[in-house]
Parts: sequence; structure tokens; C-alpha cells
Amino acid sequence: MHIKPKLLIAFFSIAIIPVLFVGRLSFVNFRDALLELAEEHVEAVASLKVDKIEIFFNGLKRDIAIAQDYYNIKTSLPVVTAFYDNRSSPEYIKAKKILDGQLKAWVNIREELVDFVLINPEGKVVYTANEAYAGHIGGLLPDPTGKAFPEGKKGIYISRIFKSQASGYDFGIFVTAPVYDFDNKFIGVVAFEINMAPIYKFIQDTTGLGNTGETFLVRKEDNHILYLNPLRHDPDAALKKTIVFGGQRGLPAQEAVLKKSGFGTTVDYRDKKVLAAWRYIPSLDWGLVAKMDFAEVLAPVFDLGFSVLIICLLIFVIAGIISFSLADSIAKPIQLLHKGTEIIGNGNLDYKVGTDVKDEIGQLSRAFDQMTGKLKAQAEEAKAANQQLKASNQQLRATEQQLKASERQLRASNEQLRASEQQLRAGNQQLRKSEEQVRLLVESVKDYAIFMLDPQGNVMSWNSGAEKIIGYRPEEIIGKHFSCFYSKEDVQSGKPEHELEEAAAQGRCEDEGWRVRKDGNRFWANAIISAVYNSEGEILGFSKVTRDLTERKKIEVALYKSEERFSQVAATSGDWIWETDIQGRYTYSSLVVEKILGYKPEEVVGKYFYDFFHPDEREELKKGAFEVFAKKEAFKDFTNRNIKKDGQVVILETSGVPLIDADGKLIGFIGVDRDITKRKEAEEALRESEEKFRLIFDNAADGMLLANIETKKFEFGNKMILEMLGYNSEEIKNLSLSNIHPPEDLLRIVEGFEGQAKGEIKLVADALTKRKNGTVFYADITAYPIVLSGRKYLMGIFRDITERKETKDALLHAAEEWRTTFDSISDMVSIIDRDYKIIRVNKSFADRLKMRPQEVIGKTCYELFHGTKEPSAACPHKCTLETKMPQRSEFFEPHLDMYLEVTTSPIFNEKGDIIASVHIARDISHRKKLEKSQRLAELGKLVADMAHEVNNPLMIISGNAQLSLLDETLNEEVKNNLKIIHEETNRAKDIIQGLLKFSRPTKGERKETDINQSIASIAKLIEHQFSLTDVTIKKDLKPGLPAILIDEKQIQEVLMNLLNNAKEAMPGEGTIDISTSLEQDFLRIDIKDSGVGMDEETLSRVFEPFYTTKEKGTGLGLAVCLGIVKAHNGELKFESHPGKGTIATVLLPIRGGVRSNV
Amino acid sequence: MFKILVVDDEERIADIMERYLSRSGFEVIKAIGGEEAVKILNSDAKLDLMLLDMKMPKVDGMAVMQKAKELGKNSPIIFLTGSIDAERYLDELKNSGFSREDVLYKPVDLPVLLKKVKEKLGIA
Repeated sequence: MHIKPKLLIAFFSIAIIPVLFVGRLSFVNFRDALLELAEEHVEAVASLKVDKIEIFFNGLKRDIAIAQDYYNIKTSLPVVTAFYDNRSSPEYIKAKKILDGQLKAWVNIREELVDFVLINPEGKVVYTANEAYAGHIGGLLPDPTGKAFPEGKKGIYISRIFKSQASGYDFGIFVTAPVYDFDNKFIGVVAFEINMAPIYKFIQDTTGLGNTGETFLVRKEDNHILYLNPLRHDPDAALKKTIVFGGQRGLPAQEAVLKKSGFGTTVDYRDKKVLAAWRYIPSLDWGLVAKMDFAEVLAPVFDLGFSVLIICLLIFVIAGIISFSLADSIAKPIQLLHKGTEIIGNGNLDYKVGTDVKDEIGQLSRAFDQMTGKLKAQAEEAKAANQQLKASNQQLRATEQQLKASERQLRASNEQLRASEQQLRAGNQQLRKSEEQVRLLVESVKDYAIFMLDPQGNVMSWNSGAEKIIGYRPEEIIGKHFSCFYSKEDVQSGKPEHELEEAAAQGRCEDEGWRVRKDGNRFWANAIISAVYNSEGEILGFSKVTRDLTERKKIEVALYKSEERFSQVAATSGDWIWETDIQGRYTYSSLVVEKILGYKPEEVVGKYFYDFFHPDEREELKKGAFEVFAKKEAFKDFTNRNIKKDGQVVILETSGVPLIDADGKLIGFIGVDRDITKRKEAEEALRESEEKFRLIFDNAADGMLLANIETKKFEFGNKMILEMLGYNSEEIKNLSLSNIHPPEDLLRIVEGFEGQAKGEIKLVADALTKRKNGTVFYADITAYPIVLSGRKYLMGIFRDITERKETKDALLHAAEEWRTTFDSISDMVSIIDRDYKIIRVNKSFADRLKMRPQEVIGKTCYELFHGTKEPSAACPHKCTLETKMPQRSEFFEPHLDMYLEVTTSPIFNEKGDIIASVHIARDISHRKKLEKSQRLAELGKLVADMAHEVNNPLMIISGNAQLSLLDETLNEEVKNNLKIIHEETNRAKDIIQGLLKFSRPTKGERKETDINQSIASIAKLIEHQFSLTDVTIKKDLKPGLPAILIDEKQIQEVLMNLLNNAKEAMPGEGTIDISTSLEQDFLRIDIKDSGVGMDEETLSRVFEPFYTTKEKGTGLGLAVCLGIVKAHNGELKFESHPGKGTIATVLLPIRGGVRSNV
Repeated sequence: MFKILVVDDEERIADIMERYLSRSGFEVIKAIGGEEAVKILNSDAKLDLMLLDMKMPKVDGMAVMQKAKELGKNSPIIFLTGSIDAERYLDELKNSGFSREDVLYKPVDLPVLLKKVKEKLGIA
């Protein structure tokens, strides 16, 4: 092919292929990246919208869940249900007002909430928050799906989307939920009517989805897919547009309703190729699709592709033009040159190719022209020289012929001469060769000193061996006499000369002996002196060969010595030394065998080693021994039982080494037998005793643990301690005290350990010990220091005392518990022995007596309880001692000022004798007081009833008597009788009134009262009454007393009573002193008379009802007074002695409280 | 002549009152028990004073007093009692404008009664 098309092809390839390649690559990358980006984008849009939809509907569910529990709905729904058909009724209006207050706000605030509806259990609308829908009330819920109410009865329900029938919005849903009253009874349904417009608006928002993209919702209906919202490409689609499920269109929607989520390139409802992402919304059973037309997604890619194509074409054209012109510029000069050479080649050397082109091809053409010019000149010169050469060549050839003839003659004569000379040289050379060989040999021998001596014994030659062995260098020794190699003694004895003479006479002299080196050291030499003769038999000299035998000599000496030693050892050793051949036959036996086996060596040699084995084991041992032999190895400590000559058993321990000859062949064994019978017996005995001790050690019921005193680490422990602690025998060796005793008790145990190590103490009691598993137990550790192999140890013996300790603790605890119980009994409990001595008391007992328990113990019960010197006759303890039965009695104990209930129970010893009694005394004062007030209450009621019953007859009696007295005609006696009747009925009346007051003190009104004023008014009244008598009243009223809270009338009654009593105590004349004072928190009133006074008995009975010393007294006066004063938390007391007058004292609390120091 | 209504479930007591007060120059209407008293109150009879036994079966003194008030018959009342009912009814009495002073305890001294009656009628 021509260069031009080649160049064109090359240019096009270089220019176009990379462009195409790069173009293609960037196109593909860009398309992929763009698709990926668009997919992600569509997916993100789909996910975002699904999330938002779910948030929206979950929000609705949550809201309705809140609404269904509204208190107002629960209370008002039944009302509106009852009155919805009469909405002007006050009940409906009131309930509606309550509901409006809460629910209208929802409708106003929530954009999507069209109405908030309440439905009665029959499904009728009974309330709407949206006034515009008030017309719905009484009808069914305007629900095209028909499911909102029935489903809402069951639970929270979101209806399907429906086309709104109401004006104002297009598409809606209902959200419904049941309402239960507080008794969990179904009372209706709440419903949200939701406008879908905000959701649609959001779904149809195509932001980020270009000119073709959109999102929409779908739902599966039978075998169709229904579009739920208006589409971008079909605004009427909502709830109308369907596609066939399973068809070729709307594939992403089909995927979504199949509950799948994904993305990809697919075909939409318009049968267009789209990039789509689809999601399933489980909570609503909807599918959501986000998609974009594929063409729109890829539009930038196609733009790029077009640009790349244009660039490619442009490059193609430019490259074509460039390559064409370049090819032309190269090919044209070459064609010209080619043409020129053809012409020159044909012989026309005058042709000129030359061009005036400046480039390399131009230069080439010019050089070409120069070359043809020079070629032409040279061709002419060559022609002339060729002719001269031809002539001289012919002359040379003739001279050569003459020279060859004369040379042939010369060579023949020369040949003859060389043959005769050769014969002569051959003989001479052979001789020289053998001489040289000997010399070289001699000189090179290093292990022998070889030298020549002249007939007089002077050294003539000296080889390297001589130099090495004897030490002289050749130049030092040659010419000297050989006697310098001999020792002084040998030289003096003329040994060198003798040897030369012997050699001269016999031709040879051999000697072994000491020689001397140059440095004076001796060496053991073997020397052979040989005489050298000439052909006539005359001595020419001597050759001497000397070997250094020093090393061999040393070995010989050593060998001699070792053999000697061996036989000494063999004879004197306690061990038996023997040798056998390979069959095991003794070839040597030392004398010791007699001691060991009782046989003499000569009796043993020739016998086999196994002949002496114990017959029981012979075959087995023999087999073992030969196995060892077969290995040709040394063996050691092979134990075997043998029978001595006298029949005794001897145990030998055999060791041996094989004997190997120079060829490595086994020729026998040499070895030693040692009698180990005693050792074996000792070992056996030791083993047995160890076994015994080990058994004792391991079977000990206590744990035993050996510890190093210094390190406090354990060396070993017996089975029991390992069981106790839960470690195995290896683990225990890594432990020390701190591992088996918890920190809380460690310090004490370590101190104990040290004390035990010194032998100061033996026992560490109650040592808290920790098992491997962390649980603890108590142990008593007894330990003794011992010394083993020079080391100090402590042998500790552990006894688990947990059970004992627990029992002890339980006992202590029980005792403590019993004591606590005993002390916590509020009754006074004591144990009293037969001698009425108190053995034990509880806390309450001691506390009541204001004593310490120790002080009580040992005293008699009667001195403590009754303050007497001997037991009372009715003592329950005494009764128990006598009857052996429990006793019980109730009494008032003046000594203790308590009502007591006492029970005694006998305590028997094992023989059944009473040894003591448990004496329980209970303070029942409070109960007694209660009983008394209860009795009084009963009495009060009785008296009240009786008073009515009795007073009426009294009235009739008294009334009739009084009426009769009005009759003037009656005689005096009758009149008197009637008077008596009248008076006595009045007395009866007084008694009844007194009883009434006593049994039921009247509840008066209490007021802050100035007691001095109150007394003054009473005194005035009394003075008036007393005006006819000789009794005077003196008052000593302390001024400035605090006012007290009292029922003034009642207190005046008390004072009146006391003043009357005082007056009556003074039948003649007398003085009554009334004084008031402060006594701590009480106000004190003293009424002192100078009357007859009272004896002790009267004094002790003054408050007793119906006790009176007066002729006409009711005996209730003071009892009533006491009742009144006590009702005021006060006190009434008398101090009186017969003939010395009486002081009556009333104490009234200032603050209505109780006297603190009583 | 002042007209006095005597009410007591015990006829004999009512008799005593009637006899005594008649002698003292009053016109006396006798009612045995509260029911009879209420009948009289319901009639047109004009009363100047009532003597009321407090404790009576069925209709007691307090009930009669209440009825009289209802009927607008605000004549003064003297209560008689054989028990301590006065204490029990004291609050009620006070609420109706009476006091402890308006109560006499059986058996009563007839002159004391007369004095009280005159006091109430303002002729003492």
C-alpha cells in the first residue's frame, strides 16, 4: 500500500477513535448519574408524602381518641340524644352550649375539619359543631360510604374518600369513634367530617417533579385500581378514573396496591415510559406513586449526546484535511527521488534529482546528487590502477617458483642432524626425571623427618618433615653432626656412634627413644638409620627416618593407667561389673558378684544373665532385656529380681553400654549391677507408711490445710478441706489466707495465724471462711507449727461450726426475742417463787414501780404490791401455790393507787412440783373508770324515765292535797296531814331532781366569768336568807383574778350548796369565811365554817349518793356538786375535824385544762 | 275573764289545774292529750294562756306549741314537765321565744303556778 493512504488511515484512527470513546463514555456516565439522581429524587418525594399523609391521618386518629373521652361529650351526648327532637328545650340548649364551647373551636381552628358531629346509638345525628350543617340533626350522617357510623361504633375508623354532597368542598372522609359513658356503656359516636382539599393540595404539589411529574394516591377496588385524587394529566380523575388491575398500564400504581414499595422505570396510566417510586400506606390501605416522564428526566442527556456528535464530526473533517496535506508533502519528494534513482541506476550519472526544498527530503535529494558526482570520478580512477596491478603480479609468480626449490634441499639435511641429537637426549632425560621424583617425595613428606648423613654422621639433606618435627631449618643444620638430636645422656653413652656403626655393619638400625628438638624439648621418636652404598659397595652415607611418637606414647601410658584403675574399681566397687557377649553370656565378672549373688566370678562367667532372674519374671525380663539389646543402646536402671545362690531374692538395678567393634558391630555389653534390695524395701516401707498417713489425712473428718508460715500460702490440703472450700488440690496451692477468709474477718484470722505460728495460741474460733463459690461458713481453726524439710509450716485443722454457731445464734436470737417480747408487754409481768420472792420482772413492771429491774428482783411481791409485811389472804399467787391452778382476781390496790387485774399461772419443775408462778398484773383503772361512767349513763337514763313516771303521780297527790287544803272547813288534823303530804311530795321531787342532776349533769352554757362577782351575788342572797340566824359571812376575795370559763349557774349552785352545808353545821352562831386565791393554774375558793366538823367516816362518805346526816337531806347535794366541779375539770375537797369546823375547797382551772401537777 | 287552755294527758292533773284555776277566777278549757288540744286550737276559741304538759304521747307539748304558732295563736304558754325534758328542749324553746323561766316542774306548788299565770297575763 502506498504511504499516502497509510498515513490517512493512521491520522483518522488517532483523531477519531479517542473522540468517539470519550464521547460515548461521558454520555453513558452522565445518563446513569442523571437517572440515579432522578430515582433518588422521586423516591424522596414519595417517602416524604407518605410520611406526611400518615402523620395527618395518625393525627386525626389521635384527635378523635382524645375527643371520644371528653368529659363534656360523655355527659352531654346522652342529653342531646334525649332532646335532639326538641332543640329549643332548655336541656338541649344547655348541653349544646357546653358542647359548642369545646367543639366549635375545633372546627374553627382546624382547616380540614368541616364538622364535628355527635351521633346517637341509633345513628341519628344529634349535634353538629358546624352551624351550617345543623340541618343534619335528626337525620343519618351524610355518609356516601355508609360505613362511618357502623364501623365507628366498633372503634376508631377512617372512612373511604367520597365525593362531597355538601357544598363548599369536593372530597371528604369521615373519622369516627365510639363514645362510652363512665359506666362503659356505649352512648353514641363522634365523627369528624374532613375536607380532603388540604391533603390533595399537598399530594398534587408537583414541586421538584418537573413539567411532567406528579404524585397521586390509589386504592384497589375489586379488579380495578381507583385514583383517589385529581391527576396532573387528568383533572377529573379523582374517584372516577380506574385502570384494570393486571393490565399493561399504570404499573407503579399496581405495585403500590400490591403492598409493595420500590422504584424503577416503568409505564404509567397514559402508557408512557416513566421513572416512578411507589409506596404502600398500610394504615389507610392506599398506594402512593411519585413519577416523572422518562423523556423529561433524560432530556439533558440527549442534549449532551447531540453536542458530542457535532464535535466528533468537526474533528473528523479537520483531521481529514490535515492528514491529507501532510501525506502529500511527504510522499511527493520521495516519488521524485525514486524516479531519479531509477534514471541514475540505468547509468545516467549526470541526472540531477536536486530540489530546492529546505526540509530533510530536500537535503536527501541534494546529497544524492553529490554522491552520483563522486561515484563518477572514482569509477574512472579505479580503471587505471587495475591495469598496473595486472603487470606486477606476473613478475612475482616467477620468483616464487625459484625460492621453493632451494628450500626443499635445506630441509632434508636438517632432518638428519635432528635424529642423532634426539637419541642422545632421551637417555639423559630419563635419569634426571627419577632423581627429581625422589627428591620431591622426600622433601614433601611432613610426618617423617627424613635426612641424609654422610659416612661421618654430618647432616647432608633436610626435608620439611624434619624441619617440622625437630625444628631446625635446612641452612641451620646441614653440615652439623646428627648427635645434636640425642639427649645428653645418649651422647655421653655414645649412642649416636653405635647406631651408625650398627647401620654400617648390618645396613639398618632401628631405635625408639627420647630425642631432643631444637628448642630443647624431648620427644619420643622412632628412628631408622639405613646405610647407602654405591655400585661398588662402598658406604656413601646414611639415610635416617625419624617419627614423632610422643602422642602415641601418651595414649599408651593413659591406657595402661586406666586399665589398672578399672581393675582396681572393679575389685573394690560395691557394684558388680560385668561384660557379656551378644547372647548375654557373661564374659567377665568382677569379684563383687560373690557379695551380690553369692557366686564366684568363675561360676558366673559362661552363664546367661537371665539364668539368675527370678523364675516368676524370667521370661518377661528376658524379653525386655533383649529388646534393649537389639537397639544397641545404653540402658540404665533396669530393675530386676534375682535369686542368690542361697535362694534369697535380691533386687538389682542394671545399667549397661553396648560394646561395638571397629566395624560398628555389636559384640556385647558391659555394665554394672547394683543391689537395691534394701532400698526397695525401704521405699516400700515408706510408701506404705505414706499411704497410711495419706489415708488418715484424707479421711480425717476435719479439714487439714498446710500453710507456709512465711508466705501464708497453702501447700496442700486434705480431701475434707478441699470439700469444705470447694477447691481442687491444685487450686489450693495458689491460695493464701486472704483467699479463704473474707476481708471483714481477715485481720483477726491473720493475727490468730501469727499467734499459732509462734505457738502462743492453738485455736482461732468462729473464723469466717469463704468457699470458692463465695459462700461463707464459720470454722474453728486449731493449728500447730511444724517443720518439714527445714521449712516452717502451720498445720491448720478446720472444723465447720456453722451449724453450731447458727444454733447458738438462733438461741441467742430467741432469747433476745423472748426478752423483747417480755419487755414489750404492757402488763406488769413477774415470776414469783414459792417464797414470794420475785425472780424476774419485765420492763413494764419496773417502770410502774419506778424502780430498776435489778432492784425489784429478790424483793417479795407483797411488799411491792401491797406495802405489807406478809401476803394477803386472797393473794392469787398463794392460791396458785395451794391449788396448783391458775388464778384470777380484780381489786383496787391503794398502795399503788390502781385497779389491778391479777392472773397467776403455775410453773412446774420436771417432777410436777410448783416452783413458781407467772404473775401478770394489769392496770385496769381506766376500764373501771369507763365502767363507772357507763353505769352512771345507764342510771341517768333510768332516773330520767323514772322521774317522769313518778312526778305525774306526785303532782296528782300534791295537787289534790293542795286543793283540799283550800277547803276552810277541814279540821286542823286533816289540814296538817294534807300539809305533810304536800311537803313530802316536794321532798320526793327534790330527790328526783337531785338524782337527775347527779346521774346526768346538765350541760350548761359556759361563759367567761368573774368568780369574785359571782361569789358576791351568791353571798348577798345567802346573807338575806341568813338574816334570821346568827351566822355571819366574811369575804376575802383576792382582786385581779382572771376570768374563768364556767357555767356560772352551776357553780353558784355548788357554792350555794356548800354555804348551806356550812350554815347547817353551825346550829347556833358562827362565821363563814369565803376566800379566793390563785393556786398555780387553778382558781381556789375556800369556804370555811366554824361548825361541828366531820369525823373521818363522814368525811370519807360525803360524796356518796343518798348519804346524809341531815334530817331532810336528799343525800345527793355534794354528789351533784362533785359532778359539776369534775365536769369543769376541777376539784372539790374537804378538810374537817369534829368540833373544829370544815374547810370546803373548790379548785377551778383557769384555762379549762387539767391540773398539771396531779 | 281570761280563758286558759290546760293540756295534760293525765286527766287527773288536768282536773286539778281546772279546779284550781277556776277557783282563782279563770275560764278553763281542758284538753286531755295533745290531739284534743290541737282540735281546740283549730276551733275559733280565743285563748289568753296555755298550760302545756311537755311529755305526752302522740302529740306532745312542743307540737301543740308549734301548731298554735302556725295558727297564729300567740297566747303566752307555761310549760309543765315531770322530767328534765325542759333541758332537752331548751334550744327549741329558746328558738320559739321561750326560756327556762317558762317551765314549771311537777309536782308544782299551786300558788307558784298561780303567780306565774298572773305574771303571764300581766295581772300580777
